[in-house]
Amino acid sequence: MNSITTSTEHIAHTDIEQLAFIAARGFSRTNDHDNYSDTAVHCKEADDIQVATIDGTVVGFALYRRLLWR
Amino acid sequence: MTVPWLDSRFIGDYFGGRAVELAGRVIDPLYQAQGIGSALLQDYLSHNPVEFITTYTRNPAVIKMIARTAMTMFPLHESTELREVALVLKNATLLSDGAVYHVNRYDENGLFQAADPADRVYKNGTSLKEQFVGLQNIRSALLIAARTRKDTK
Repeated sequence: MNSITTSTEHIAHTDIEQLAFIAARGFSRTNDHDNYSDTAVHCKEADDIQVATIDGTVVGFALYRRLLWR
Repeated sequence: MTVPWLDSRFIGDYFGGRAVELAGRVIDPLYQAQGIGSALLQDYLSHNPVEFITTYTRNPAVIKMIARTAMTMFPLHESTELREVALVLKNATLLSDGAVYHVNRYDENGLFQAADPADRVYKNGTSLKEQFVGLQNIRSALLIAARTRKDTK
């Protein structure tokens, strides 16, 4: 398994399509427009994203938000 | 301990970097139970050392994953400090069972369209839903606050 971590600012439309596909499978949802939109919103609200791949295929991802301490 | 406020806003390492929220995690069902989620989290913490990790969940797999990186974890372990961390998270509500929840976080169908992972046996033959009764509302999420282990930083 390989992983990359990047800022969610660098996520492209095609990346979100792949993540939406995984989200639909993980949450037993239909991979429709609503699923895509929900995935895109979650990515936008996060600061960092990690994507796990096996043999070049996306198999999972994680989203992180840094919490402000003030 | 004083935890005046926690907010979900990017601040880099200048002001904070003490806490991070695992805001989402999805593993393709074909690859679940292979340690991929744990490997991702440990890799993230090795590059982003924080004292606390938090999440909203109703999935025991997520709790077990965080437990591998944690010294202590509320509400699995009683901790005044970690309860305070949980209580300052967005939409936190302390219920009568002593755990902290985001009540009605999800829509009327819940987060999972199929089997709710909170129904799975979690510990000592009981499900997460039986252990934390606030999860009997399928729209609610349990708030987890964990102090990370030093060897994961």
